[in-house]
Amino acid sequence: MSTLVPEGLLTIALWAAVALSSVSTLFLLVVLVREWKDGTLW
Amino acid sequence: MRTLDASTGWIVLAFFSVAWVFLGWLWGKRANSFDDRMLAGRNVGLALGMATAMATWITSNTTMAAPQLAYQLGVWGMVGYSLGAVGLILFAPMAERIKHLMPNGYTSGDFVRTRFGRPAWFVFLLISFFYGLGWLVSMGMAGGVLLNALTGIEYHVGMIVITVVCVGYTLLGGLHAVIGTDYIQSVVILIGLIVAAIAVYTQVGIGEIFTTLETERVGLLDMLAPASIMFLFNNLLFGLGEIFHSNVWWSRALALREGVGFKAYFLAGVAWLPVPVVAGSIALAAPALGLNIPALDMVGPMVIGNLLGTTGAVLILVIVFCSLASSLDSLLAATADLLVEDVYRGLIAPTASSAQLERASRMIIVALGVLAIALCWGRVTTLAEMIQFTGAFVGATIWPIAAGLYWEKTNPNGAVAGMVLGIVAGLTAYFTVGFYTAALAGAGVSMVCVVVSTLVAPRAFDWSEMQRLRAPEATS
Repeated sequence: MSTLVPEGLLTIALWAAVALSSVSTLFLLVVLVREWKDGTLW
Repeated sequence: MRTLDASTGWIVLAFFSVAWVFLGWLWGKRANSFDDRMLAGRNVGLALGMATAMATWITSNTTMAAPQLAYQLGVWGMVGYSLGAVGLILFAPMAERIKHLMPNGYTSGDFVRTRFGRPAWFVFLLISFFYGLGWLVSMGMAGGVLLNALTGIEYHVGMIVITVVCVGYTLLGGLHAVIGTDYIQSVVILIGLIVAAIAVYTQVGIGEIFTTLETERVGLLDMLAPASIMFLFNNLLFGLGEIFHSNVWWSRALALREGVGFKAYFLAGVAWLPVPVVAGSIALAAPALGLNIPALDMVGPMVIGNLLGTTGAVLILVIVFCSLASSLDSLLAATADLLVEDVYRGLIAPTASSAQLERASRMIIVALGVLAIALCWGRVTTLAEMIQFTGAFVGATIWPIAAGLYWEKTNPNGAVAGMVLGIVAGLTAYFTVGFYTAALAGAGVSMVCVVVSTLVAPRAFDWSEMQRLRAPEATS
């Protein structure tokens, strides 16, 4: 039995990592704006 | 492989250097006391808290050593590196507890001294300084290596410039500057890595990468490579040890507003998780591009430079400069705090005033910068090896710290034995088995020492002792 990572799984994992990083970036920007407006940044 | 001329490199470097120093000066004006300077007013919110934890954990080692490990160990190299995020996630509840237990404390050293007494404190400080220097050196070297490889700027010149810039703005702005710049740096790093990865996946293609690896480097796709799996567990424990003990993370826990610590660290961990996969996957394209890799720690920049030309070279320069700065500044500030609070105030001048401590802090930051430059002068080892060597030391601190925070009965002797014997075991494993076992062995032996000692000789600890830690103004 092959123990190699299937190509499909590798493709999904790599694109999922890029997607999660994109969401994190957006989240950081949104929270910054919200706290900036509220005056609770620091 | 150089794709950027030295003048472009200098322009990029100058732009970011001026920006960081200016922002450091600007935000530094928020600090009105030593306490403010060290802990940014102890009222930092979620956006800055999450970003600073993430940016600090995205070191130049993440952006340069993750591709190296992916190129050496394949998919498990990437996954193993990304498990470093578990350290941030598990530290989330600890951050809340630290803030709750010692609301007026300053450093991880404060905790160890109060919880376990002086012998454990001395051992802990030695570990902290050794680890801090190892991290400083690995980042200073990374700066010199990167600038030299991408722009031709001489290794020593690049390394000195990056270190001096970080010393400059940390000196001017304290933790306000560190946390503020960390936010910008984390966003820049994330966007840069996303752009680079998309370029690789679309221009080379994941199918092409897979096919080439299958024929030329099939081991990199193997899910059952023993050394890689060992690396995975080792890296997990290494990350835990680094975060649990280091004052870099404790000072942030104390700087965050009440109730923010858990969310900031947890979300930072989740956001950090994919970063080594994104950065590491770039290296997997090297065989498909037919690149000859002369230095393993340059595989990531070489792939990006090859695919995106000058734009790629500028991009990678910006990414690594930001990841270097975000960690170097944190480390300078946190190590200086440890030296000021634990060594200067703790051993030399217990009644020092706020102004004296602030002066000492500035001098120590400059001294650390000079020391880092001196130690980076000879490029002694590769980045990944440099980091993993400290694994023996940090792995040994996991149990003393975690048990010390949560297990009332843990006694000082167990903590000391755990740290000392853990280091011995970790170093033995490092030299006899391989770098990927140092943290594993250190953490294992340390766990046995702490657990057995606590069960055999339990000693109750009064948590309210932590509340007695006070700011210098109150004692001067």
